[in-house]
Amino acid sequence: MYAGHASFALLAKSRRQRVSLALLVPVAFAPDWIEWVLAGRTTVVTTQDKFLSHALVFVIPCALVVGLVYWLLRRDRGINATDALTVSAVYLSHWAADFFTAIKPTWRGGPMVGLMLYRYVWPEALAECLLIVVCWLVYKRSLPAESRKREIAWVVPISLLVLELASAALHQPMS
Amino acid sequence: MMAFAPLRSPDRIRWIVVGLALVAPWFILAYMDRLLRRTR
Repeated sequence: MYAGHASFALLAKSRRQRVSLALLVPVAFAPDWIEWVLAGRTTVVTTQDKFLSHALVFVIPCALVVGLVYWLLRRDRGINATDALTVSAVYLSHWAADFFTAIKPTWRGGPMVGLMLYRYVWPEALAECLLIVVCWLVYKRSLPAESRKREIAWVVPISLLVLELASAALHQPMS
Repeated sequence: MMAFAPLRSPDRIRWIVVGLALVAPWFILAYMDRLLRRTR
């Protein structure tokens, strides 16, 4: 899944408005960021890079640590445990979403699991587009009334849809 | 010890494109959310 990950950040932002979207978006993409950094030296993504970034056995503790660190650093600014758990849930949403689109590692010696919808490039991309639109509509309701009417607000869903369709057109699905 | 990939190799270019693909939604959504929540 690619741009669809960002839709979970939008959904979380609509529910927990104290949490910055500038934090939620990279958290939603965190396993991909980790994979990208690990692959940085040789630029070739190895099985080990995929395991360390996307295995369930690493994703769950990383999600909990990110939520805990966020709560510890921001509790004096009104961030509560529910906000922190939301950040953890957004991190976990990455693995859950990838389960549908790809095949992901679980634990050392464990099975690779997933529905691998990437086999169907355009239906998968259209499903992500639908997810983006639905989450955008929910997010939009959380905006101030006057902002909901601004035409520039459409930049959010349109940019995500363009990124998703470009990714599908290039047949370069993200992990 | 493995060497760093050459700067202009296809793999390095693909790696850079993937990085930009990760930055793009981050930049757009963070900026737009800030803009849209700022009431006039």
